[in-house]
Formats: sequence, structure tokens, C-alpha cells
Amino acid sequence: MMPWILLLSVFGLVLNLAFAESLIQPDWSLGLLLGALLAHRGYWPWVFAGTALHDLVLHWSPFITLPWVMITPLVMIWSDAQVGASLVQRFVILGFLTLILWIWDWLPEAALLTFLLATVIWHFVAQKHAKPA
Amino acid sequence: MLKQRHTWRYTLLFAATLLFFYGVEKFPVGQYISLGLGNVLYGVQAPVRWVDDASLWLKKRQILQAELLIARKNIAQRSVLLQQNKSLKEENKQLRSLLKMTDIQGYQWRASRVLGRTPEQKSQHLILETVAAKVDDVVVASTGLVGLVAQHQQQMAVVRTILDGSISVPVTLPNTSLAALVRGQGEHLSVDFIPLSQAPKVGDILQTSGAGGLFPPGISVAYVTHIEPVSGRIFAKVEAIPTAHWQREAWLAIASRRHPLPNPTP
Repeated sequence: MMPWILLLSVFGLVLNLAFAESLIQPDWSLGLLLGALLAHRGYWPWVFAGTALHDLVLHWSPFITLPWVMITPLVMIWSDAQVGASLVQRFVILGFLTLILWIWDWLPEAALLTFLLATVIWHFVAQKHAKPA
Repeated sequence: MLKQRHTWRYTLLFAATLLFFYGVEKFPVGQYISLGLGNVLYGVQAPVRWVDDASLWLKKRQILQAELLIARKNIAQRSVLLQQNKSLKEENKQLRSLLKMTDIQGYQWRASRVLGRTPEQKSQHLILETVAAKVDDVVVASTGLVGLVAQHQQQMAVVRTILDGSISVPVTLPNTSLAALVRGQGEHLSVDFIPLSQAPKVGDILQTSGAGGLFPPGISVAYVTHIEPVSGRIFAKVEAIPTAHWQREAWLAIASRRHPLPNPTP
């Protein structure tokens, strides 16, 4: 599952670069990677690698979203221990991470689309991982 | 034993992370990856280009038919138009000498297609399809200065725009002795070293001064948007926005120096 998401995220980077001036589009790569991470935090090595590539290709620096994505699994573990595993804190984390795009001069619409894309991917990956009762 | 193995693993991971951050700060990895993606971008844009070409072909046929009719009507007036053209050329020459326009000499200009751009509202980096570009070649749009070529490879070049914090452009106000530096701040530009007494007005256009020899003189760089005196300092805080609109331009011009820059003397 994860290699496919990584491959799609690379294709997403290409779409972002190729049609930046003509379409309002989500950050395909970050949306896919965040969705996967929120659904299953064990994917962190793939997500870190993908986010590093994302930052390097789109911003030529690894210090854009990567540091925040790197602490996300730890925040998830900590918040789950504090208030119990729930969707609320994950949505807060996702909201914060997509807000970073807006801070880095992406259109607010693009940040919102990224949030929605990540939510869909999160739901999709979580369903794949769900064990039948 | 198991705990020790985990400690080793985490230490190794930590070291690899540090090495990664050090590596990408030391070498322009992002620029090389962007260059590598150039051909992929070209491929991804191909269907859009085909549709564009097809619609152009259909449109062009209609335009050509209309032009043929107009040309037939106008053929009798051809000699008059030629005469008019000659007189306009003469007038243009006189106006240029009156305005003391700078001829940008010593540069070889060529047009380049924009293949891709980073998706910020004001893209900081561009990927161009070009031949024989060199690092530090100047990139210009019809409306002003865009930036510098950061890396090149065969038929691709990546461009760092003037919004990128790593570029400083020596500027001046035409017909004044002002000498300042424009620096990228991500979303806008800051203009450094402007004495309050010589501060431009909001709306003034700063042009390249040619100092340092990297940028040709006389190219529009920025509109001044904000001027603020800072107490205790001789220089004003001046903000500006680029005059060039590279976010929507499909073609840009690259100016290559005919002669390399002289090495600075120690």
C-alpha cells in the first residue's frame, strides 16, 4: 500500500509543478502522505522520506513541513495517552499541518483542498487497515 | 540485549537524519531534483499542449482566411504603409535619443518556455526549457526582472526568482544617484540602504543599476509599496513588490553575458 502512496505523491509533485499557474490544486503529495500517517502511524519512515522529497522539490529546503511531520507520530502517541485515541486530536494535527502551507504562501483554497484530500486518504487507508470484527 | 539493539537503531536513525539535513543544506539537492523532473513535467503537460495546438490550428485557419481577405484589400496601399513605416522608424530613433534609453549590450538574449513553477502564490522557483543557459544568467519577463538561473542541465534550467532570499539586486531610481539593494522576503521585497532623505515615493519603480556587473542596467525590478522611517537609523524601511508577473508568463527571456564576469581582486 505505502509504496503506491509514495509513487502517487511523487506524481502529485509533478502535477503541482506542471499546472501551478492554471489550476487551484491541493498539495497532492502532502495530502497523500498525511492521510497515510494519520491512518497508520507505523508508516512514518515512508512518510518522512516522502515529505523530505516534497520539501526539497517544492521549496528547495527540508525545513518547511518535514520537521513538523517528524514530530507528528510522537504528538499522536502523546495525545492518545493523554485523552485516549480519538479523531479529534488527529483533525487538529491535520489542521495545523495544512495551515503551514498557508503560512508558506500557498492559496488558502489549496490548503483547504489538501486538508480534504488528506481526510479522504486517511479514511481510505484506515479502512484497508481495519480488522473485521 | 534487545534494548541495546533498539538504542543502536535509534542512534543510527538520528545520525542518518543529521547527515541528511547537513547534506541538503550543503548541496543544492532540491535544484537537481527539479532539473531531473523537467522531462517528466514536459511529458505530463503533453496532452494539454496537444489540445492547445489543435485549437490553435483550427483557430489559425480562420485567422489566415480573414488575413488573406484583409491583405488583398490592403495590397494597393502597400507603398504608402512602407513610407509610413520609414517615417515611424525615424521618429522612434529620435525619441530614443531624447529619452537616453540604455541599450543593453554585452548580453545574448533568448526566449525560454516555462515548464513548471513552485505552487506558492508568488512562485519562488521556476523550471525553464532552454538551451545553453549558464548559472547566474539573468531571467527577465516583459514586465521586469525575474531572477537568476540557479542550475542548468542539457535543455533545462531552474531559476531562483528575486523573491528568494538568496538574491540581492543592486537598484537605483532613474535620473537619481540613489544606490540600494533589493532582497527577496518570500512574499515581497525589501529595499535596503535607502537614506531617508533620498527615499523614493510609494509607486516609484526601481531599476537595476548594473553595479556589480551581474544584472544589466535599466531593467525594472520593483514597485515601492511602503516606506517607513525607523527611529535611530539613517536608512528607511522600504518594502516593494516585483514589477514582473512571472506567475502567469508562459515565456521568459534569458540574458547570457557574452564575456564572463571579472574575478574580484583580493
